[in-house]
Amino acid sequence: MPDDLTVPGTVWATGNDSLTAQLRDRYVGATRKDAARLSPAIARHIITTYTRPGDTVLDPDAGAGIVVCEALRTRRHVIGIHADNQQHEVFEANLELANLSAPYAPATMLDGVDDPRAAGLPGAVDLVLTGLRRSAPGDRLADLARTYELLDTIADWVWPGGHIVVVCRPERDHRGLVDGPGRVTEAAQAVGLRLVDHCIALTGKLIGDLAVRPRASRYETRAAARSRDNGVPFAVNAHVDVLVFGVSADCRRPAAPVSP
Amino acid sequence: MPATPKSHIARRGRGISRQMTKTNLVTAGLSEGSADRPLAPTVRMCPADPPLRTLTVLGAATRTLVTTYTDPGDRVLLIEPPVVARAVGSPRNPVRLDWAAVVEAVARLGRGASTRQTTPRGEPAVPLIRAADDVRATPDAATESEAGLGLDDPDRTIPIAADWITALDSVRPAADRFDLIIAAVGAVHPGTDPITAWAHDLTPTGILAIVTHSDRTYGQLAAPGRDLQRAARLAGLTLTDRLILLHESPPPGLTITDANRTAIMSNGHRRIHSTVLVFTPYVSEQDTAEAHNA
Repeated sequence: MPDDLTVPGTVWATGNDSLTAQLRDRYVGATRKDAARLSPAIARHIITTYTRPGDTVLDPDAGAGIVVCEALRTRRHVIGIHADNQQHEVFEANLELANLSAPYAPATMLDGVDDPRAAGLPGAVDLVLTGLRRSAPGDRLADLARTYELLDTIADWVWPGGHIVVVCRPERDHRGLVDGPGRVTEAAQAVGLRLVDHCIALTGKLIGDLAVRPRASRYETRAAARSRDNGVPFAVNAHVDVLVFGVSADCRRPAAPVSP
Repeated sequence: MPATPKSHIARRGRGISRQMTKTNLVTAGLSEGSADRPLAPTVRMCPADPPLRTLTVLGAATRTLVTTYTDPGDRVLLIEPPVVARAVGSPRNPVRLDWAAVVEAVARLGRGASTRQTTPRGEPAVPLIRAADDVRATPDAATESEAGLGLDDPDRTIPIAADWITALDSVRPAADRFDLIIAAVGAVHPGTDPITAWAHDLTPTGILAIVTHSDRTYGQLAAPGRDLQRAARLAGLTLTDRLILLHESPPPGLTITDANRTAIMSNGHRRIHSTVLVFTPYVSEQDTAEAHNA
């Protein structure tokens, strides 16, 4: 067991490279929109922290395929579910790039949680990793219900000792900040998952030991400035919340053999 | 949800001219102004030595919160965490001295600094309007003291019936309220009563900043954030920000070794941050529109 002070901290410096630099030569340009909810650096760090080579990673909302591609590049088996058909072509292009750069086992893609091929999944997954999508205004309750249903389904697919990791980007509505992490935690606990860690992945750049410089969009910066001028200051986003849920701490499967 | 007091709208309208005045002062190099501050990120560096005790974290956070959310001359209320309250009367305990340093730091920033002790959970609820008076009057409940530039409290000894609260909200002078209240809450939710009392002590544009963190118990993480937000909503407050206070700079590299992975699987990551939940009194869109039209 390492000394306590050598254990990695709850805050990760995942924003030192810009999103453009993270995507360059690895993803097609149209990936950028989807990368806002879960960047390649964050996905890679979570995958390497909670799984070993040869383990199985699942993304129930594959989107442009960042989790799928990062899992392949780090030599994990991967299962993806297409929840957003609009990004299917972007996903295929990214998958091809990942397979060219780091050929490993082919990714298994499902059409939905009720895909017949999902029948063999229970107990087969080591890590479920997904980034929450920005929900439509006024659709918070429906969004929460969808999160609940999704977690309820995929919780059975995770091997005891495995993890479900949900990445939440801070969101605002007309009343203020939406408590995304709190809502996800409630939904997860309702289906019997345990919150085992709450980490912070930086999206801003760490400047020495002094400060974090946010990489906010022009829209976010203007909104913050407008709100400050109206007397209700709020901070510019420089992080995402990483919620780690455990299925069971009783046992853990030995590492699968790594393919050559 | 309590009705928004008229004074709130008036204060908002006044805020613009207040900022313009401050802009002129800043141009002249005389004052700092909120309109001239750079936009702050959600993650702030607040170095603190481990173990991250509540008072250590609160001391590190206070300067950041005060400079972010107040201007010189504003009134700040610091809620003493229970651990400090227990140390009262033990002169050899350095914790008390640390708390005095926190209060002094606020005064040095040109803000009026008041302190009050947290009412321990389980005590009977204090009538809202008399919360400040009662805690001062009862020696073993809580006390309040003030230092710095804050204004005197004109009605601190006037008993007012609790059912007059709503009517009095609109006429009560702002001098007994605070522009910023800073409190620290551990992993255990303190109940709704303290938050309701703090909400009542805020000016209409005031800010309640609660420094909190999660704790691990039997492998499970307990975080009071959701309960605090529910309590704040019941008290008429809305969440406007969630700041991350970084007590230790994370290493720039993201390499995970097998030993680290094993340790994380067993006990999770080492906590190096705290969270600040920032609340303000709720203002409806309609109120804001009316204030702009006025």
